[in-house]
Amino acid sequence: MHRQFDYLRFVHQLDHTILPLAVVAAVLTVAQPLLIATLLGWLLTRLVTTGATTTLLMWTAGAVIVIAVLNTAKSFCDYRYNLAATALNDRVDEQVTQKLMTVSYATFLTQPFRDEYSAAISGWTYTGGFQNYIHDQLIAALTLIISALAGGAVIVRLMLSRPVHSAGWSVWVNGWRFATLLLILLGTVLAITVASNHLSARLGAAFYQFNVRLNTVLNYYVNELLRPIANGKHLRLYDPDHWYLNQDREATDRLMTRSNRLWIRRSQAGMLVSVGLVLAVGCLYLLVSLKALSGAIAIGTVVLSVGYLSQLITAIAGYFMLHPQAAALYDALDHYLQFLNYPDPPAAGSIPVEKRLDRQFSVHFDDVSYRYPGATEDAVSHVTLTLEVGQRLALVGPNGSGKTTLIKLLIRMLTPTSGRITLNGFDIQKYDLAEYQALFATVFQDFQLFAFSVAENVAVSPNVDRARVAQALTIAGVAERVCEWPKGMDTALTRELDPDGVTVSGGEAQKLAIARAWYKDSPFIVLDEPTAALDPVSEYEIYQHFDALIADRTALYISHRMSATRFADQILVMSAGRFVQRGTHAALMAEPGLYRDLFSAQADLYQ
Amino acid sequence: MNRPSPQEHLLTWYARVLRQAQGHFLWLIPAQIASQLTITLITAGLPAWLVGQLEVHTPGARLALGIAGLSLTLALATWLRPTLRTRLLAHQSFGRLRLSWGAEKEFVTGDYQNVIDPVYRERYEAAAQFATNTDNAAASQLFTAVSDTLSAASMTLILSALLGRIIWWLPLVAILVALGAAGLLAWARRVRTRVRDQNQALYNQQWVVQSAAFAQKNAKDLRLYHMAPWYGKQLHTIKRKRYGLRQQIERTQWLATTGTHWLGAARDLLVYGALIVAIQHGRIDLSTFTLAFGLIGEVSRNTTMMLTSWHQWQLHRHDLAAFTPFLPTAPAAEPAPKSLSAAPTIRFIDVSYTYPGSSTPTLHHLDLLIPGGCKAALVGRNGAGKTTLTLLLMGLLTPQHGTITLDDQPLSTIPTATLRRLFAPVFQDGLVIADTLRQNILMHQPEAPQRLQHVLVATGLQPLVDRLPQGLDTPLTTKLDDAGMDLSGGQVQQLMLARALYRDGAILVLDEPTAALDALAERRQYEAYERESTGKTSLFISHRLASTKFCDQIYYLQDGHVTEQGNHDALLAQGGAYAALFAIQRRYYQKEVNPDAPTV
Repeated sequence: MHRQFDYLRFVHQLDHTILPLAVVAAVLTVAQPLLIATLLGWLLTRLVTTGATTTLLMWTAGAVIVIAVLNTAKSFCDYRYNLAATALNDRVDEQVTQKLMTVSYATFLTQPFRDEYSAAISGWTYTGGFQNYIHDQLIAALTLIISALAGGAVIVRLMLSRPVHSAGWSVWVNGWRFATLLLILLGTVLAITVASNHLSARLGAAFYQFNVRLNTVLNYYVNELLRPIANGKHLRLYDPDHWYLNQDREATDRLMTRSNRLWIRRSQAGMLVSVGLVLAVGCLYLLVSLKALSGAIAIGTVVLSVGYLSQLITAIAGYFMLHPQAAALYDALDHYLQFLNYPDPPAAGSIPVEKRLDRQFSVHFDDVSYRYPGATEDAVSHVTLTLEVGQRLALVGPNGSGKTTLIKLLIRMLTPTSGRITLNGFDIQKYDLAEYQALFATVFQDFQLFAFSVAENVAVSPNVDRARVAQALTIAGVAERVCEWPKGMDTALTRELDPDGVTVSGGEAQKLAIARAWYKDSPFIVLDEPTAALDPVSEYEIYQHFDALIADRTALYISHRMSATRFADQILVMSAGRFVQRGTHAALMAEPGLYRDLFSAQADLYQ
Repeated sequence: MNRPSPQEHLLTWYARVLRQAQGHFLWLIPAQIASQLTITLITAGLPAWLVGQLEVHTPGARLALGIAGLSLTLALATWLRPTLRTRLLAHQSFGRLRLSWGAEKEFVTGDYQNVIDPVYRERYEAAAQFATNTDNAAASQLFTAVSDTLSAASMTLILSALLGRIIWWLPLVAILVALGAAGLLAWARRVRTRVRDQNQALYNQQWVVQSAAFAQKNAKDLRLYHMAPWYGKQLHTIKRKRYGLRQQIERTQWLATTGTHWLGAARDLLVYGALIVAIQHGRIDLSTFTLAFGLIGEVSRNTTMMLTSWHQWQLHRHDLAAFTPFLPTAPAAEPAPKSLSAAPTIRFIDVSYTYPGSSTPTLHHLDLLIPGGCKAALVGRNGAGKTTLTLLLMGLLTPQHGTITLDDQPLSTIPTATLRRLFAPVFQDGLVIADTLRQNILMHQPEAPQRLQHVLVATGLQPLVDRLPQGLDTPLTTKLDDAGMDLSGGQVQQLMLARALYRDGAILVLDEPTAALDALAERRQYEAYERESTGKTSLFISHRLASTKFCDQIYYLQDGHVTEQGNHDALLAQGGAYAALFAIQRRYYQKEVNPDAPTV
């Protein structure tokens, strides 16, 4: 029960108007059929007793107008309610997206977090989320209460009416026997509804499971494999018999057939309730008509009573029919709230980083090791290293030696499994995460550009310093190319958000990423393979601008292009997670070792 | 689910698709109409009949029997109608997925040019959104709209006939009011349709932003550069715009609905008034009065529904028709099978190619001859057209001008199946499929254990396979299997080379195959490549000019055609663009380097 308060509170805090609107909507929804039933019943009674035509006409006209006014009010209420529901949805959506983007990197990658997100999203899709909670659960409950009040009044009236003549059977439709029969009827409706619910719920759960799997598989084939532009050439050349295309079809057919069967059976089970309702209304008609035959009530009252009581029965069935969905709905809402409150330990640090204009920051790795979850060996093993201010360090080594992992540890995307990393003497885990990461401008190998303008991609902020962006583009060697584009630095990248957007080549993208790193005026600059995708001329340009790019910052960069080590003060050679050599280029070339092998493997080809 | 033939009517075509998918279904429509009719008549008729019986004081038993009979019939119809409706929907849903798959097929097997054309893709996305993306789309709703229209139409006719027998002008008033109501609703609908495309565009943008927040590949940059507030603002702006559109729709809807309520009130005033007068003058009895009361609303409702459903039908028809161009056509006849030599000669004759939507040609009157068995290298700056050339060579793109021949046979005369299998390409980007490691190499071709073994050793993947507990049967990527393995960038490149080598095609095409590899692994790849390309024609594209040294012929691409060609030493001696490029790259590998010295 207290869960309900949690949901209601959450909803109310997001939008203050929606709950009152829901109450009004419920009242108006119930009022209309009741009013019509009242009108007809009253008319029939009056007509039988031969009232004056004019009076009848006037009262009827009055009733019709009142109904129209009520309907107008209801439409208005629906209009405001729909808008409020949209706003509510929007706000929940935005909160979820914020959470996705602000949770720390380590948490973001963990499977439980992503599962929680998927559960919340698919729950939302299949149950309608908070919007449906209000619409189905809350309004249905309110409708039930109001209908019960109206229906209750009718039942009391029926019970109090006395027969005019008592035939044998009229005993059954009067007095307490009548009340008992009515209660039995209501009880039967309830029982049928509950039984149908159990059946529906079982089928519904199976259907739901099936759909989640169906969607995962279809989503992979369609969105990840067959549709992406880049995959077309691979599939055409290497899958000429269209094996994967046919897999997609088979999977779809299989899952869809089963899914449809479940869907139909589930709806059939649900229909039992409607059948029960119809039969119950039939019984109602019978009971009340017999009562009328016994003279206890007028014909008009028959119609009115049946109208009110069927409304009550419908409301009861309506409320309980939504019950199985209630369980799934509450589950989805819980997932949502759990997701929004997901704990984020790596972001626990809170000490602010001291602002130093002199950029005297020094980072020290003290016997640091890191092992990926589920791995058998350390990716980084017992590394000790000091990054002095203004130093340029090149990090080289074979694939898989732990270079990228080291960088991720440095910028706190991962937490060491042993040892510690300090900044100016303090453990970096203690600092406020955002402030700590603000010290580093990083370009990873798999950097991403976003579907906004060039300037926004470089500045990565709504406030763009255009002069600085222009400078960044020049240093990265891409300023000329950007000027060629129709809107210059305001051109959008990719066409996803702007049909006038451009698609950039790999080399251009890399230069933009470098511009982005330069723009962020941070004490440290970290580059992972900055020239891998560039042609020799572009690579050379970057090297020319290396000094301007790095300026007086502390730089750490990884490169397979051994020529890049020329720009480093110190070279670190990593192999299998450890530092195996360190020193200057000349010193390392003088001794036999991994560095000489790596360098010669490339340099020899140029002799 | 091929495209409909030109003379074929859309409804007949889609009915055929649905029938082929899951059997006969058209009987559901008359069945639905019949059950709906039963429901309406009994629901309106029962009170009327009851009133009549009560008036004449029918004995209780007769009354009970009558109620029982009517209730049971109504119950049956009540159960039938939604069941039939669900069946129709499920059937169409199946058809919808079939159509969706058909578009996939066209995308995967049809003209490659469409794949890379952003305009084509956008048009497809827009069409799919309204035709096949959800169960509210045309493919799932077309026949439901047909059924609803026919049902409402028959209902209107039958009920009007019944009402007309009571007072002749009753159905006329009902229908007139309904027409007015339909007019108002049509107005609201026009607003909705006008807004639809705008809304769709905004929804796509919203989806881009939201999926960017979730995608793993964006996670690092998003956090490192604190993009959350910026993204949040973008999302908020889009949502505000959509909210504004929604407001427009809802307001119009409200006004239209209110109008229909008041029109209905006017009708009711007229009709109820007439009925009361009639009954007071003894022209009709109480039972008929009750019947008329119940039926009058139904006639209006059904007329409006008929017009609304008819409009839906037209809309769905339009949306589905807009989707059919993206479906496959019946396959064209393939040319006669050809056989080519084990190392074909490649020739480009005056080839020009411009990408769709671009104003400058990428390749411009290009001539190229790669003799059979030659190890060719293609070099040039980024954007010179090297990759484009390979796509043309493999028959994925068709040049606007000129011919490409293999062993002097034009590509267009070679059947697609043969053509595809001729090539063993390694592209700049790798594609790891959510399948086992084995199948990522075999690509579901028959397994030749010796060749597989050889390939694993040649590419340096054998140590990785030995380390894995499931060996070659390890699932790759975590997309379909949580326990799957993600390969590093270097391992992906090794895998792509393994795939190409296993293919054992006559023409090996390597496009920047070593960008992510360390120096030692890179050298290993070059050595493997040199060994494996013996006896084949091969084309090697790379920025690492040192690697092109051992090729027989180097072609330098500039301004859309070949400007220099020859072997490495000849080109160096020539002192042209190639030589300059080589010198630049060589600089930092020199024993003594002075970064401030001018380039050669």
